[in-house]
Amino acid sequence: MIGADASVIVITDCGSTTTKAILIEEVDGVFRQTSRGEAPTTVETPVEDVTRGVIAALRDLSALSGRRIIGDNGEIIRPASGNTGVDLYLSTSSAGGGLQMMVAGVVGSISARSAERAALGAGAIVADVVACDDERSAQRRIDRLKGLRPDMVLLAGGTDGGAQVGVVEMAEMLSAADPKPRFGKGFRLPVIFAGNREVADEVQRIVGGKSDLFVVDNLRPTVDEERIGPAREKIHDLFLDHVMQQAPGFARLVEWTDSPVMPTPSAVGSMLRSLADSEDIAVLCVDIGGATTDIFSVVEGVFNRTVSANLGVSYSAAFVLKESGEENLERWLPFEMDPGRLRDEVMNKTIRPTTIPDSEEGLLVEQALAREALRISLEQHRAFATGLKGTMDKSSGISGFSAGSGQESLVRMASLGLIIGSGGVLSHAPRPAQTAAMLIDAFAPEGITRIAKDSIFMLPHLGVLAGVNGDAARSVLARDCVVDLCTCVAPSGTGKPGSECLEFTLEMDGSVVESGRLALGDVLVVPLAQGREATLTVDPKRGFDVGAGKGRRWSGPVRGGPCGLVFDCRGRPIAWPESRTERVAAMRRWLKAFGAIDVTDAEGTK
Amino acid sequence: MIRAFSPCLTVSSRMLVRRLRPVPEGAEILVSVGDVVEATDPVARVELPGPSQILSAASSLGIPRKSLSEAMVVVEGDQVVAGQVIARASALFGLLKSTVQAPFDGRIQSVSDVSGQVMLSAAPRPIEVSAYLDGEVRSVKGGVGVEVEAEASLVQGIFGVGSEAIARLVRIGDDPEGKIVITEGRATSEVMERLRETGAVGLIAGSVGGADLVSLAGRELNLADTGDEDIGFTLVVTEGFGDLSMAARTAGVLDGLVGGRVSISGATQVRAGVVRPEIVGRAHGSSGVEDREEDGIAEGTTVRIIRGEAFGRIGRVTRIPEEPASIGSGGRSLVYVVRLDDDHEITVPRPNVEK
Repeated sequence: MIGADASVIVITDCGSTTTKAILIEEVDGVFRQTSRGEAPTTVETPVEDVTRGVIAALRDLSALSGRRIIGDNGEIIRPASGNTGVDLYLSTSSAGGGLQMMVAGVVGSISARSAERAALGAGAIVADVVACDDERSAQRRIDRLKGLRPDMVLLAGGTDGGAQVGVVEMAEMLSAADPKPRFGKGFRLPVIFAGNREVADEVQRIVGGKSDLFVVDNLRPTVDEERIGPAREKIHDLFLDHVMQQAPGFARLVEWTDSPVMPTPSAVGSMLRSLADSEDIAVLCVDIGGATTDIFSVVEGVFNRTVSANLGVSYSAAFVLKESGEENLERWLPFEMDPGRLRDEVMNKTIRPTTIPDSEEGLLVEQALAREALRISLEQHRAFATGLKGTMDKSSGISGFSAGSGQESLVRMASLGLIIGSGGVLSHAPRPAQTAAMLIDAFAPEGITRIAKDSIFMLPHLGVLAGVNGDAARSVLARDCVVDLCTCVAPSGTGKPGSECLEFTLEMDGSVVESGRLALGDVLVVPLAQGREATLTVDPKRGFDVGAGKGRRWSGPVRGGPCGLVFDCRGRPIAWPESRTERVAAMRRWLKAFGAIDVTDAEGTK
Repeated sequence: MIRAFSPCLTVSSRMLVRRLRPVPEGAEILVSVGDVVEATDPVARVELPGPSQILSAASSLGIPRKSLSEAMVVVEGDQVVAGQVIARASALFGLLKSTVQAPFDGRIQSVSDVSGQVMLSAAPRPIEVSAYLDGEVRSVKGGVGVEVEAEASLVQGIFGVGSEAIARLVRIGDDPEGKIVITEGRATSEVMERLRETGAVGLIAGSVGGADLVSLAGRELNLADTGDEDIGFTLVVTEGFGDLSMAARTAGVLDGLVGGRVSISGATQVRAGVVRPEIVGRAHGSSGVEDREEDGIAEGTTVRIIRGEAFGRIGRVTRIPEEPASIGSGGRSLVYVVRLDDDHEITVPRPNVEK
């Protein structure tokens, strides 16, 4: 296999704004990430050539690592020899907006949902989902689609031998709207048809004159079967062969890499599946940016990804406020703030997105925004990741659900073993405790959950590496990528504030190092250093559950981190005091307990 | 000398302004290179594709979908006029007759015996593209646009709402009908409501309250991407949300435009390919074309603080430390040391200033 014996590996991730390069080297038989470099992405005007940003990032990497990577001819030196060159070069990309798709199906909760899952799983940003039964009129759907400029369209609907009318109606709507592709003047929009194969010819007749139609296996061949693999693979192929060839400079980038360039989210999914599989745990990973928040989960072997396109902490700050409401945002502040002023602060962040907070108050407002963006994104992810009747994707084993309403989410918070946070507001928080507090507050994990961060969002790089050298990817993942922040112990259940919640003892090397009794509403942090492991025994009170059942003892190993072991006894859902004044006081107490803020006087005022 | 880069908004009383007036393929260009144009002159005429409508014809006729082709009295590609019968069916030995008529002038795009639907496309709609500037046509590229250049005053705002407007600039308190109104402070909810009622076509303000804007628009706006909204007039805000006064330099340049005709655009895009709202008017002040300051900020550069307690304050950069420094949030950032106009020196994160 290409790259299986490589010992010096360079990987780039061409993001929307920054191209990040990492160097991975085999040191004493172990693969480690040894250096990183970055440069602005150059896919837009005036440069319009993604490889210029790649070269700049590799030069930055050279300067920091001392390894000569770019030769005098401007190309990557291969193979590695001494402190020159590399054995393997790989890349992922979400530059230029990544892969943007529109999906259509007949029934929103069946074929359209499957099509959306196929697109998201392939790493796409789904600009819109249309279905015969969505609330919009046919004309409004057409008007909406006219304004979109997707890279490709995925059209589904009808089981094989089943419904035909809705599928043809969707094709007619697509033809009427005639959306133009994002890149390439004169380039015909690729349309993948993954619906009832009996109407493939009719679909071809309707949309074939305006688009390039590709027919693949039906992603819902029967009502209770989902088969998204062929559609997903076609999306990947078209992304590489059509879309990337149209994007500025990508054709050259594809020539440089030793393995196909992967869409960034697809690479993340690949790595998370590997991590969940190797540790036999359920994993949730979030990447929160200025404009969007991506959530990935692998639960019981099922991978799901959602992109909350308007939830982020700068460009989308005002949208977060709109979605959350002022009261939900304000509750995360440990001080009172006039609602009008809070709104103005958020809207100013939206129109000046690159400014940064220069006061603790400003920082806490942004972290409150992050909590709401994360919370709503998780709600959307959980609503999307529904696993109901146990139907499995027979082609890939990656997803499975069947249609219906009111289904339970696959992503149960109590089942998660690890939550990984990434993105500027989490990675660059002044204190690790602030990162941990944001993740715990927003996601409200239940039971025993490790909380970690991927400080430089290296998962995409490792995901593409996993495809050619799984051992190297896993080695770097464990040693350099996922950094533990704390283990969170959060009993699920509710009760009267101040009532008994749990008792615990923590043992190391056979000795009890800490023990205590906590009430509902308490947050306690017990120091437990990074890399240390201890044995925790928890006795939850009646009505509370930490993983072994209500009121039942849980005992097992826990890992430390800079934020130690966090006991979050605020209840699930978090029991908020009724009055605004009490909420502010509670939030101040909790943030202080996390170590996320300093409180210097008896009133708790800074 | 260390030089750093920070974004800035253009404020100039006299500079060369070029604007590309985009036109699609097939547009009729009405000007030539070298033509002198006024802002309101049309430079191109465009036929935008008409909307398409899907008609559930088989259902309307009460016939099986697969029989639709037989019922059609026109075929794909035919031009039809509003009210024209395009499909006809009868039942009960001709006693019950039903028809489907074209709802508007257009062309039959498709007829499907599977869906039982007819797709009708309306005739193209002609629109004209204005010159936007009082200037000279510098280039004409079919399918791309017409480039107009003018020596003009240009002020970029930080945020806007609504499309382009061209009208006389008047101060608040003057008759606003058909005019663009300027107020240097915060435009209150009452002021904005009154301007809308009295027919102002534009408002330039130092600031607005976020809640007031939502109230005026009747909904939350997508602040990151504006330009198509209709709130009754085009709004250009120079400073931001809250109670902020227009920067003195901005107010000075705009003061020179009062009484004359200006072109404004509310279009704002804060993501990649940044677009800011703008006000363009006749050049005034010093003669000749004002040079833009060299990009970047160095020691001695005058800057404006755009976040935090010192928002809106003007100062001069006295030092640009190479290493990140601690800032008030508890984090670390690359910073400028700035001496404010009252001689007080403060440390400001680099992203929080503009020239």
